[in-house]
This record gives sequence, structure tokens and C-alpha cells, in this order.
Amino acid sequence: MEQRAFEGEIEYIQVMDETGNVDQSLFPKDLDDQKILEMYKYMLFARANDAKTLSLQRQGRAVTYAPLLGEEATQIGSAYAMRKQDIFVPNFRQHGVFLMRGLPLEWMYLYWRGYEEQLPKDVNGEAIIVPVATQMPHAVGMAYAQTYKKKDAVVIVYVGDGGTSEGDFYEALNFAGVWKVPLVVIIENNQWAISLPRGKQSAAKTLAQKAFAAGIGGVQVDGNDVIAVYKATKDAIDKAKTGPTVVECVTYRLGMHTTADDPTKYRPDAEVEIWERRDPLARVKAYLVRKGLWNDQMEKETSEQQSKEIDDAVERAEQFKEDPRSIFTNVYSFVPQTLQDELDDAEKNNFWQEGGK
Amino acid sequence: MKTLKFVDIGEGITEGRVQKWLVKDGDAVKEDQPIVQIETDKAVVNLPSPINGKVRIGAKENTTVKVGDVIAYVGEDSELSSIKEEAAAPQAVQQKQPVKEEKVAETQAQREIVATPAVRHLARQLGIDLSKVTGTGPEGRVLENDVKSFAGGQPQGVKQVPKFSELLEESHEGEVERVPLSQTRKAIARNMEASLAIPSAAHMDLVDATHLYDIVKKEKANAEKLGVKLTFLPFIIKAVVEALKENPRFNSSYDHDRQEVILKKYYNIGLAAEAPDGLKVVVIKGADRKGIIEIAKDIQTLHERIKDQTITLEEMRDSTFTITNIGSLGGGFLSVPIINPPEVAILGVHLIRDMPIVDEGQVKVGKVLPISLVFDHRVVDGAEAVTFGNAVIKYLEDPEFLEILG
Ligand SMILES: Cc1ncc(C[n+]2csc(CCOP(=O)(O)OP(=O)(O)O)c2C)c(N)n1
Ligand SMILES: [Mg+2]
Repeated sequence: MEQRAFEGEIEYIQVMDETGNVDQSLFPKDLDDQKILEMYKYMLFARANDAKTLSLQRQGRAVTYAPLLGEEATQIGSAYAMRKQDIFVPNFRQHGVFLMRGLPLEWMYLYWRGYEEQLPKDVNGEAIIVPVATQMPHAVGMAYAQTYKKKDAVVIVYVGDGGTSEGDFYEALNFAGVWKVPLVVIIENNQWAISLPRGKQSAAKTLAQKAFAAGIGGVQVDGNDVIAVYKATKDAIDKAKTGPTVVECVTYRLGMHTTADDPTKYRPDAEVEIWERRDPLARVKAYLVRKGLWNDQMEKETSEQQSKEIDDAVERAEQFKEDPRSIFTNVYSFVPQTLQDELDDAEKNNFWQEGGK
Repeated sequence: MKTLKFVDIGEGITEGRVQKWLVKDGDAVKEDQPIVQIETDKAVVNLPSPINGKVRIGAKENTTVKVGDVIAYVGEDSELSSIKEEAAAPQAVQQKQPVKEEKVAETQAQREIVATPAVRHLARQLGIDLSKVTGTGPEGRVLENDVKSFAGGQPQGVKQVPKFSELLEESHEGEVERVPLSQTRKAIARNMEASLAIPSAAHMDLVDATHLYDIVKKEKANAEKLGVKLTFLPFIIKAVVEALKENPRFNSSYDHDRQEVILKKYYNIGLAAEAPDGLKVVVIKGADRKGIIEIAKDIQTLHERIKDQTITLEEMRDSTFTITNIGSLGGGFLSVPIINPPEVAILGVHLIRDMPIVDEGQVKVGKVLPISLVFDHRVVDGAEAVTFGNAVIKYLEDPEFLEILG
């Protein structure tokens, strides 16, 4: 006897093409032009903040930073689909998601000055995680906790194309599949893991198909199409009660891996130029302009207003006076006795007066 | 006014070089506008202006800046005019104030010694009392180097591991014999060691040597009348010289100290030759001005001198590019020769064999010459090696070029 034991397909979705034309049959019912306009402004804002942080880093006013340039649609589209109670788990590049979720701007700049204590609870997100893919098992555990506590929240976790090669990724997906946890995995496939290109990352045709091995559904979308990303994330959140989904967003890292990296050393300009033509912002702008909802004057005014907000936030962040006590108080949600003892000891001995600042 | 200082723009960067100013001294600049390009060992990055204002350049192009050095000032004219000349020049920042160091040294004895387990282990091995060592790390931490320099730069007392040669002689007493190296072999050994310091890479290709083969066969008799034995080598040398003219970096030397390339406008082609006492490189001087017969004669004379050991030092020095004719040794397919310092590349030419050649979909038997080019990757890249290799091939496969020579 011979019969087919498994069958699976990965769909690729694009709703808005590179010129801003929309496939009406795929257009999400809960979206409208005002919402698209709102997402566009967030994408502009994310790009402006990115450029500012990069500039600050070059002046020694920010620490090592991983720019999001080119990945705005993946981040804003997915974050726009989240509900207030949903929890997101980033890696280290999702500054756009933090923005969308309402992280006060100066707290963002404080973070990149090295102060990590500033993550307000209602942002409903985890701190930045650098060890690649270690956020995956965390996210599955958090999603399981939502079911366990009978909460109506979905966990949205971000992982890079490089991250999908890690053991943590596979282990996490496996658990997620077995437990059917309310989880959405956004693979932010930006074609590069530092200097390793997507082609050498995996022989799999899509990264979304890795979901099959764990018995999970997967879909691939044009990650530079904010509507497709929104749609796929929204659908995944809507059915999260029945189990997890993997959403692979095909996008491109237009900038450097981090401020310590020089991509001109390993990737051809010609490749970057191809992706510059697929800019996630340009197509939305074309769409809005055609609809009469946007023009260059409005773009200029918005940019000026956003720059001012950013400058004010930087100013406030630079005025921040750190409290060395946070070394002890920012470890757990409460201060255990052992840390309290250390804190008392430190204060008694003027621990941070001597060597500090 | 704000000062733009050079900071660690990567991770763990301590210095950089001012590659290019994107604005002129006195120019008005905007906040976040890139004003200067800095090259570090990791990347070339643009540094932006911290505020709107006029620029006063602090570090000139091509100067090395350390983390903390001032690169530029940005502000109003009145503020800029108050900057003193010396203040504008980059100065290496003092990493530590001496006052602080004294304090550390003084309290070392009373305070707890801060050192990692590895450093403590090293100190124990060397029999050093850590409390006597001044730590130069943060907060007086004792570092590995502190221990080493305290020990006089030499890790004395570390158990001496017997040399392999002593072990060998001991375990195989009477079964081994020591033979001193000849002067030539010593020179070869020195040269090979120097060559190892060159970060090199190899490029390999195949030449269709059918035309070359025919022409050598045709011209052999003519040459013989002149008392010259004609081989492929003079043609290869001429092709290489033409390729060198088109790709001058392959005819150069690398000046490590000044980080410059010295291009040579003369073409002395070295030929690796096996002599009774080891490898020697004989040199065809001014190969660009010599004809095929003349080069063939030179090769012949030089080889005879090697054989009867009358070769002079002068005939073995000042080559600008070396060819090693592995084919003449009678075997092998492709090899990776070693660069002959201070040159930047070497070409290996191999045994010409009858091999299938596919020409417009037809397989035919042709003469195939495998070549390999090893090059100094500091001076040239793979792409240039391919260009150079293609030029050599172009000439060796071009019947007209060969005809003119012949
Ligand atoms: C476990 C682990 N290995 C290596 C690194 C170094 N590292 C940092 S980011 C990165 C590449 C990640 O690529 P990808 O997952 O595609 O994310 P991207 O940076 O493209 O957003 C690597 C290898 C790390 N942080 N953690
Ligand atoms: Mg990636």
C-alpha cells in the first residue's frame, strides 16, 4: 500500500503591489483608508526615529543599535493588528512595534542610552532580546500562561530569518503545536542574518513551511506590503484560540545589521537597489496620493512635526538622572531580601558615590 | 557650541582614520547632517553634526584619531573663534589620571585583590604574590599582562615542555641523524616564513594552449639554428608582462609600515628553478624590452649557471613578479605556489596535457595548460585576480599575439 501521508501548501499573499495598486478581493474588511493613512504615518515615524538613533549613535549619544530601515511595513502592519491585551515579544529590531504600542518616545531614547528600566506595563511587550531566538521558548510559555489563566490575550513573537535556524525556534514551535497555544510567530525575513544571506540560511523554499513539522499552519506574505502583513497577522490572531500560526514576512534590511556592521563589505549594491524599488513606504504613499488623501505638503508638515517630537524626546532623555538603586530594584517585580541587603550595604558604603559618574 | 568627538562607533573600536571631510572648514551645517567620513577596521561610517551651526575642523584628513579625540566643533562664529589652535588638534586622551593610579597602588595591599581565576592561576604558576602586582584594569583589577610584566615579561617558572626534537632523539637514539641546512635552504626557509605572513588567496584557470603548442613546434627549428632551445616559457613570460602592464598592482610591493603599495614600472620576471642545493629564483631582467629568442637565451644561460653553480647573486635578485613552472618538473595538475616576498603575486604554470575542449558544442582534443595565481589579498582582490588571469589567458590564446612574438 502506498498513500499520501501528509500534504501541505504555503500561500503567498500580497494585497498592495509596488505601485500602490490594491487587489480588492483580498482587501481586509476591517481596514479603511483612514486606517491605512494612520499606518503610513507610523511608518514615517518609525523611519524618522531610526535615522535619529543612528545619528545619535555616531555621536556617542546612543549604544549599539540595529536599524529597522526597510522593515517598517512588517513591523507596523503586524503591530496594528494587535489588540490592547495582546503581548508582543521582540528580538532586537522591532522599534516600530514599540512605537505602535505606545512606548513613550523618551523611554525609547533612554533605552538606547543604556537605561533598560523603562518599559511601562501597558505597552504589553517584553524587553529587547539579543541572544538569537531565545525569545521563542519565552513566548510559547507566555502564550501557554494565557490559556492557563483563561485570558483572552494572544502572544505575538518576532524572529529573524537567521533565528529560524536555531534549536530554540524548532523546540518552541514544537511545544506551541502540541499545546495549541495562542501564539503568532512573525518571521521578519529580511534576507540577511548579519552577513549570511537567506540562500545560505536554509534550503527550505519558504521559512513559513517550517511550521508544518510542528503541525502548525503557516503563511508567507509580502513583508513590504503593510496591508498583507496586517491581514495575515489579524487572521492569525483571530484564530489563535484554536492554535498558533507562523507568518513569514518577506522584507529586506536596507541598512546595516547594527551600527557595528558595514554591509558594503559583503553584499552587492545592485541587490540593495532592487529592494529600494520595493520600498514599503513608497507604495502606500502612491496609494494615498491617488486617493487624494495625501500630498507632499502634508508629508513635509508631518515630518516636521515628527522631528520636533523626536528632538523633544531626545532632549528629555538626555536630561534623565539615573538612579543607581535600579540595579537592585529592576531585577524582579519585587525586591527579595537578599537584594535588599545588598542595596542597604551599597548605600551604607557609598557604593556609587566613589567610582560612579 | 558642541564638540564632535570620536566615539566607539562600532563595538570595541579604539581608533579610526579621518578618511574624508564632507564639508569645508567654516561651512554651515545642519543637525544630523553627515560631515565627515571615518574609517575604522570594521567599517567606513559617516559622522553627523550634533547641532545646527558652522564647522571648525579638528582632525585633518588622513590623521588617526583615538576614541575621545576631538574631530570637529560646531557652533556660532563667535564661539568657534575662541578655540585655541592646540585644542583643535587631536590629542590622545589620557586613559587614566595618574592621581587615580597612585591611589590604587597605595591601597592595593589593604584591599581585596581583584583578578579573574585565569589570572590567579597564572600568578600561582609563576609563583607571584598578587598583592604585590599593580592592577591596571578597571578599579585596579589585576590583568594577565600585569602579572606577565611583573614577572619580567617572561613567564618564568612555567614548567618547561621538552622540545619535540629532544624527545625524538631520546626515544630514537641512534636512529636519527641531524643534517645542517645549506645556505640556500636557510634562505628558502626564511623566505617561506616571510611569505606565510602574507594573507594570500589563489585563483585557478585553464588555458587552451593549442595555438601556443603549434607555434612553439613551428619555431623550434628556427631557434635551434640560432643555438637556442625554445620552450613555452618565453611566450608565457611575454603574456604575463602584457597582463602586468594592464594590471599594475600585480607588479608591486606592499609597504606594510606606511600602508602603501609601491608600483613598479620595470618588469623583472623571476623564474623558480630547482637547483642541486634547493629552489632558486633566477631573474629575466627587463622582460618587457626583450624578444622571445632573447628571453629563451637568458633562460638557457641562467639554467646552465645554476647547474654548474656559477650563478651570481645579481642574477637572482630584484624580480618584480615570479613564475613557477611546475610543468617542467614532469607531473601535477594544479598547485598553490607561495608568493616570493616582497612581490604580491606568483603564477604557477603546469603540465600541458591533451584534454577534451568543448568548442561550440563540439568536443575536440586540445592542449590544456592549467594556471594558478596566488596573490596578496591586502593589495588585490579576487576580482582583480580574475581580470589578471583572463588577461594572461587572452594573450596565450591569441594566435596573432603569439605570431608576432614568434
Ligand atoms: C545565540 C546567538 N548567536 C549569535 C548571535 C550574534 N547575532 C546577533 S544578531 C545575529 C543575526 C540574526 O539574524 P536574523 O535572525 O535574521 O535577524 P536580523 O538581525 O536579520 O533582524 C547574530 C548571529 C546572538 N546574538 N545570539
Ligand atoms: Mg535577518
